[in-house]
Amino acid sequence: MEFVNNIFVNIADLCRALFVWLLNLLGLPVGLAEVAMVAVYWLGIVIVCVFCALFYVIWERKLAGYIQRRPGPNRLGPNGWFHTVGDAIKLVMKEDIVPDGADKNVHLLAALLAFVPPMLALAAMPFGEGMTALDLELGVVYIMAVTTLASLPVLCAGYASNNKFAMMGAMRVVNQAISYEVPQALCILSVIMVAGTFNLNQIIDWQTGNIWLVCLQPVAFVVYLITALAECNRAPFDLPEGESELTAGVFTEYSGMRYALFYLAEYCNMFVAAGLATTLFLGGFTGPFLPGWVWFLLKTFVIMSFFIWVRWSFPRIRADHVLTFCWKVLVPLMLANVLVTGVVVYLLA
Amino acid sequence: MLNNVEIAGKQQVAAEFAARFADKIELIENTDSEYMVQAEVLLPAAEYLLSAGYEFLADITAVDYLAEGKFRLIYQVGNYQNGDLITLKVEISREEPQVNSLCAVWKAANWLEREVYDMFGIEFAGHPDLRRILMWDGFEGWPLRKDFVHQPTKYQGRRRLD
Amino acid sequence: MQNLNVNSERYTLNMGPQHPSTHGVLRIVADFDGETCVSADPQIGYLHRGMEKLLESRTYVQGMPYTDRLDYLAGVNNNLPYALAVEKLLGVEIPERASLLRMLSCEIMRLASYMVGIGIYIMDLGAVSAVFYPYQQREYALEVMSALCGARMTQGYIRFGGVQADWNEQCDAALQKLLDEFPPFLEMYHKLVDENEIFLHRTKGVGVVTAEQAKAYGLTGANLRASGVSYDLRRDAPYCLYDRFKFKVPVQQAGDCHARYVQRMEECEVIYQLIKDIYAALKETEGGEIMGKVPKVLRVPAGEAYAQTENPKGIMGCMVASDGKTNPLRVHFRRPSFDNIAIYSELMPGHKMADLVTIIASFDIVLGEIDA
Repeated sequence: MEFVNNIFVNIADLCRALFVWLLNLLGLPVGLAEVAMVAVYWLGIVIVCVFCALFYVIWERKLAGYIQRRPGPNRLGPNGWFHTVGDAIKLVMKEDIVPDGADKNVHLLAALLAFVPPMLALAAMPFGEGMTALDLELGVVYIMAVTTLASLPVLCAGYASNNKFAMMGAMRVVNQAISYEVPQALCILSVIMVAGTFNLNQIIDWQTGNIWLVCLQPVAFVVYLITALAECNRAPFDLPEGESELTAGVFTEYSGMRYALFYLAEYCNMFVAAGLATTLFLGGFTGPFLPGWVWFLLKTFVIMSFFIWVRWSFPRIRADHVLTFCWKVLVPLMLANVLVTGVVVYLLA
Repeated sequence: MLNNVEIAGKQQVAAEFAARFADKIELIENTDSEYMVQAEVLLPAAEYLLSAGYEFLADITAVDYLAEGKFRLIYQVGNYQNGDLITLKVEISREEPQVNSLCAVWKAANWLEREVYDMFGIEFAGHPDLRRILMWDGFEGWPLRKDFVHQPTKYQGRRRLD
Repeated sequence: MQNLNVNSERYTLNMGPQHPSTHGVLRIVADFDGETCVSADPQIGYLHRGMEKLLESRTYVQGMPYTDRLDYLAGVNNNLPYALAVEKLLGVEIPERASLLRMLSCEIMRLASYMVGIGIYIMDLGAVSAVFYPYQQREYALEVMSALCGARMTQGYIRFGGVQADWNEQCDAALQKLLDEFPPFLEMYHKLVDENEIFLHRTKGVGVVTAEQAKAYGLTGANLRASGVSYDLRRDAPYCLYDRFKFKVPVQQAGDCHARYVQRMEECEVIYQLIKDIYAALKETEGGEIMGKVPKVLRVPAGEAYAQTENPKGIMGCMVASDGKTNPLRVHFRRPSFDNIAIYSELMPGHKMADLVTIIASFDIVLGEIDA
């Protein structure tokens, strides 16, 4: 049990020992081992990214199939679980099309950058006991900051495509990202006020010692989920993509591997949002019987499934309603929440 | 809605047509609601029909009678209150195919007349926006005329249509 | 704030002809100021197959299968006005059972067409799952037609003088399946969509067509009735044997996109009841003739005839002009969707970009019919 719980920590320690041994052998300063460990962490995060993207794409299709009373993909591999792999291979092999009028460099850069924000965010994510690549004192603020960047590659994509639909989509991304940042920050603020720390691991500790924050901040939890959907541009807030009015929005001029990168990055962004929700509200990786990292994955799985369920059940919100809802409903609501939280925390302290 | 106006039936229309357009409009034999209308009284006849509660312009179409050198325009006008259908037929010469537009009476006439113009080349005087509708703008000829020669299907080069 | 003069550039956006929510190849050239539509001009003709020209060079009987391709979601319904117009010229008597079979098949396909209309409507608003449930019901309806005449979509079931095939036992089973499955579906769908806050926000007050506008533009079908004009040919100018049956014609007053949805949902119940009634009447004519006396080689007497029927999309009319030969001199179809979308250029300006999609979807158009 203890072994399984610490398996990844042990692997990391093993790697570190290996590096130290190698460096000693080569006669180099031992401090370089930590630098080498960054590469290991990075590799680990890439693996998590790829895993969650591949898994959640197929899981979304399966769940959508269930919701829509159809089998869903069921050909490649056992029950069709290898479909995403097949899709990825197909997309890699497709012709790389860049439109004539596009800004070629930005067009490519946008696709490449799409994966950066979720990977940066995952670096600070506590996956399990001692499994935080970058245990920052201001972990929450850091994740907030880098997830905001997620709209930047999408904006680049829309701008570089030289397409009206794409441009409209890009404008909507910015609208939406800036607006929903505010209530999301207020949600997290409510949590921080209760826990009294910005450190993600300490927030989890606080929850272990007291109670899951979802019980103390139910409103913040619900609003966080809504804003997370909007931040990730997921239905019903998928206006930048807005299939029925903007064809494919910002991704109109993207195909093949470039499109696949955006598509997979979307799932990684969702995974980050779900991971943050787990950490802030659902006690993070803590839980009985099972190893910590399994609990983390299970909790994020539930939240991800909720995101998918919402996507396949609701119609899309109109662009102006999205902003009205944010500024006239969510922001006042969260401000009130922060106020009440502040008063209660002050009185109890 | 014309709730307070008494809804004209086919008989009243027949009587009114006989009184107002005595020799310009005649009832076609063996029918109770099909009229042959002279082109110059089409507009007043249409205006009367609208005022009599015939608010529904169902259809405008044309038939090319090549042998007689005529186009016959056929207007179907319906009544939302009692489901009546009045048919107006207008004959115009093929050499000078022109007739008054009914767009001012029924807005539905706009597209229907555009379609007739597109297919037969009949000009509707007073139409606000007489363009081709089904065929593309650069198309030549009037496809539903009986003397329309089928164009050879050949590639006409790459060009922008708008 | 309202008078804040922001210099924004208007731009033209081509929605279509290749666009996911223009129901085919409709193209709307719209000018936008930001997200708001300033002017809209529907461009049609991308699916123009010269149907009317084609029919002139075929015999009357050969022309029948072409009519299926007009409103391809409800093939039988398009056969009917063509058959009725030609029969008017021929002066044939239609046997009772044949008339009932025509009506029954038309109502079944009407239901199928409404299912597509409603499903695609909700899907265009972004709720993709909502399309699958109605399609299941449509499948049951198509199964009935498949058992009846062997074809699912473009049936060509109606013949001059009657119908192609008689009702059989497989049809009984298939129809029973439809009748059993439909009411629970309708109840479920009401629960799924009716109260959805996003759906209500997207549709209420959007694309309002007043009764005056609707009449002036010659709207027909559910779009007209959603604007408060109670006009249904089956009741107001009955053809076939519709005068034998009593049914309610629902009507809405609001005239917006939401009213058009509610209208279609209410009409579904009426159609369901009508299918049941016609089916009961059909059972009483067991063993009756299904074809009138029509000569093998059709030489239609010279003349012009116009017949119209209430189709799922509105009033479908057919004008047949004959000069006594074996092929028609001229056939013209009044296609309801064609007349219905003429209002777009007046209706769309002032709406948001997403509302254009809602408006197009709420009108339930079929491009095969618009372009003929």
